[in-house]
Amino acid sequence: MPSRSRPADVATTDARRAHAARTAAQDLLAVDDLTIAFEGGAGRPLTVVEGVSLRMSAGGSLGLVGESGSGKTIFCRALLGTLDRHGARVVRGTLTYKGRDFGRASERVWRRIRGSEIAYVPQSSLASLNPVLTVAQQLTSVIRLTEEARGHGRTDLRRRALALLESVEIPRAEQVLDQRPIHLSGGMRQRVVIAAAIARSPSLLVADEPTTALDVRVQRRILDLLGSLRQRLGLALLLVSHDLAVIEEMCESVAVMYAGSIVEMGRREQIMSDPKHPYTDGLLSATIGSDGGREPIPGEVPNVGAWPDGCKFWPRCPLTRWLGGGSPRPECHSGERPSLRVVVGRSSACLFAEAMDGRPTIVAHGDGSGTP
Amino acid sequence: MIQKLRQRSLRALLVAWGVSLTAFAVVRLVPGDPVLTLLGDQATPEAVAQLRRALHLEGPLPEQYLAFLTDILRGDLGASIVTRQPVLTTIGQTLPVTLWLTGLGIATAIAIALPLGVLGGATASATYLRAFRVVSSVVIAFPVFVSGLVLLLVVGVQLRWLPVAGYAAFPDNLRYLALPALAMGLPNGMIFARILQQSVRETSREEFVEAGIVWGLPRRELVLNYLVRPSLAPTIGLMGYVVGASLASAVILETVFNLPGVGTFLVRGVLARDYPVVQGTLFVFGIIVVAVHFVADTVAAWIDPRVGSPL
Amino acid sequence: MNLPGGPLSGRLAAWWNGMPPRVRTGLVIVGCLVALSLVIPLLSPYDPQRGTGTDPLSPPSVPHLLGTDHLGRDVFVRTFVAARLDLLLAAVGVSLPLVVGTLVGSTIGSTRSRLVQYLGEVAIEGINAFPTLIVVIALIAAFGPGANSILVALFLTAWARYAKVARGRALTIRDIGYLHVARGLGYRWPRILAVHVAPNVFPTTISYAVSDFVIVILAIAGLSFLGAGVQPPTPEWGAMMSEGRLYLAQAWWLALAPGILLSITAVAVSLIASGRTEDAFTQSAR
Repeated sequence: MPSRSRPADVATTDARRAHAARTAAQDLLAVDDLTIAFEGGAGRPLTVVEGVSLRMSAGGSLGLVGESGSGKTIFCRALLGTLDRHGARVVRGTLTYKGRDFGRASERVWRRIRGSEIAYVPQSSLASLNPVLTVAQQLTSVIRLTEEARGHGRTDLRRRALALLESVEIPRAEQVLDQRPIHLSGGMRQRVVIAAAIARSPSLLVADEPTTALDVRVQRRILDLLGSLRQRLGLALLLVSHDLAVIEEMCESVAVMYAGSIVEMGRREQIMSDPKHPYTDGLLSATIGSDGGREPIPGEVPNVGAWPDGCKFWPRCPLTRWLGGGSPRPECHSGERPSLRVVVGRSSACLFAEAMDGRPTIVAHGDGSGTP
Repeated sequence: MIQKLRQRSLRALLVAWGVSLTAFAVVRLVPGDPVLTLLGDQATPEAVAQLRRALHLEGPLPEQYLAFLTDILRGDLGASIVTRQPVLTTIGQTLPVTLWLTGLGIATAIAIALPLGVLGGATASATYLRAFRVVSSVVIAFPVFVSGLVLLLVVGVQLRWLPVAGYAAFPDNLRYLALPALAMGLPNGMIFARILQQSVRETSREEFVEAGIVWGLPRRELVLNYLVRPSLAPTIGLMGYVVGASLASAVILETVFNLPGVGTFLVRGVLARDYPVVQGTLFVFGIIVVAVHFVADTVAAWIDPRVGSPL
Repeated sequence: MNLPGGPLSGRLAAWWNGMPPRVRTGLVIVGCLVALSLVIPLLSPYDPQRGTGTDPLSPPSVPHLLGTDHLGRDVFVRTFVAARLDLLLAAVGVSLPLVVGTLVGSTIGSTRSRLVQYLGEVAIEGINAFPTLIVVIALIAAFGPGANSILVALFLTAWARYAKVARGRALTIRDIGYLHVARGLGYRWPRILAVHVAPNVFPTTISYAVSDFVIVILAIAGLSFLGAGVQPPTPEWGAMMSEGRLYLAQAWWLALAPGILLSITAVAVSLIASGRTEDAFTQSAR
């Protein structure tokens, strides 16, 4: 059942929209109330992303955090216009890139901006590279699409491919060019994939868990690479990850996603040090227990199609129980979805965001109660 | 890569040896004495002994086989009892025709299979798939010599677009080979199409196809390099078996269309009980099939590194 | 189709309706063909082996539905007498390898003896490695042309194919409990084979036999066409086509009538065979 904004929040939403419209000229990417659904079996569409709104400006960096099942990857696909391949489509809201709404655009329209404006770095480089073609063949086919290389011969294209590999700091680039992906290491492959993504000098780079499949040392280097590329090329970076440490390092802004919706969004320093949503708080505690005190949030992300009413986080939320004296507050588990509102300089979807104050954070106990 | 090549070569040689054994054995499976059968009851003992020697039919079997093997390695496949011509020479004259026919037949099959396979692999229409499956079943089951005759009748006799018999050198031979190649190519094309279709369908779901889309690659490139090329390996791997079956079709079609190929040579040899001809031709066919298997497997592995180690 | 009363016809009806439409089509066509091949030779006034009073090479007309051939024989009755022969030969050509191959294959597949397993595999794989038609042709060179030679040659190459299928199936049921029990009880091998193994393997090999039928009937007709099988004047589809080929320009119906019927048979049996396998590609569209 699609959620609607509460009457009291319409004013807030309108105000925010007006503000957004004023700054729209500066926004590279503007997503408003984006809702995506799968064509479910038995005719009923399954909503997987609900009411997501966010902004990115040119050269900015936004980290999208969430556990698996939060809808982050489908959201990425929406940004690349490949939803139909997965049986999903935009059912509500807008996705505006450089002022133009692409949310329900046709394939032909998307072809104009894919690769050249918006690029994608996938999680699995092995699955994302053509196994039967060499690195050179794949890179040159992308390079051929750029303005400068139009009409140029094979030698020139190869030279450019070599330069591209060197720009992503691949050692022995000349040899790598003639290899097939299966013969390269994970770190090398990821660099190749990044190279292909930046080949056409896009303005926005969407990186979906780019380092998750790599080991720690290689992760470090890939992140450094991404950082330096961003600076050099002025890329805007949308980094999707479940790993808060990565997000914290790379992104100026953070958006926390849970079960298809954004629950908190704001500048990195604010979110990380002073979360105003129990879910964010829980994620931070789960990460921070480096002394062995890792406490993952009890429970699991609800499955698509089985989302609870009200605030989707309420079954796992320690705050609602603490405030309700042991049982969840009725405002949280019934009624409509809470929408983002401005709380202490960032946006939070928690109805009781003000009740959360600084560290130490609320620790959830097994029985669902919580202590600050 | 080199190591797999070596393994494959070794296997091929082994099978080639097996082919020689079979060629040798098959002719000697006759109940009774083949020489007497050929010469009849009135044969003189000298004639019998002479023929026996000529056919390598005297002495214990291992000796016979050794003689057979050494002859083959020297390039001597014996001589026809009927024409007295060396078998190898006649094969040399007739083999090009058969190879042309088989080659054209396979080319036709590929030309039919590529568009059908890609179309079927990319489509979402269940109606098309069902229709294709029925039509392909019918075409595959249709006997090759009947379709050859029908083509001969309609195109050659009634419409007189193409000749009905005979042969010429390249490029004229294409006119004589067009109809039989089509008859051969249709069912094989459908078989290839089915397999290619399945393969393309699986490939289209792969993530690297989406990656190619996301890079903004043009559609033509996506179809050729990201759908078709990675899907080819299973089809190419089949080529060894298809060539074997095509050779069998070629034998029949050569008779239908009166082409002077190895098939006609073999059939005449069979009907005349001309053992050296049968033995030699069988051996050559077997070697060709082994060679094609070898080349096909190697090409498939070169095109697609995912192809596993040879069985 | 409505069959009158009784639980047996109820099951028959259920089985019939369970078949996909293309399989039913195939069964109907084959059924009609078999019926016609039995009935027409009985009803026709013409002798398939002798010329009638009519001119040779006359086109299809009222008394001679498919015209007459170069010897004045009625093509219509010849075609269906040939149908009877070809269907019979193919049936024999399939059933013998089916039975022998299944028994041998099942034995190899369920035996515990390493030696038997190994020898069996070598024999089966060895025979299956060669393109069938070529080997059959060579065997016919050795045995001489004729229907018997074809059957023997086909049998020698075909049993190994059935054995391979049977062996594969037997392997999957080898370690099922009741085999152990049967052995433990001291049952002798032939009994185990007959009672336990074979009934589980035969459905698979029979299913294979249906598709093999097409190959066999085409091989018989093809070889006869080449002159290596059934010899004229015996009416047989391949032999008739071979004779008819010489008169293709004047009397195309001579070669085409048997050809069309052969094709119909082949296609119909393929349709029946295709019912056994639910292809992946119709499924993947869903």
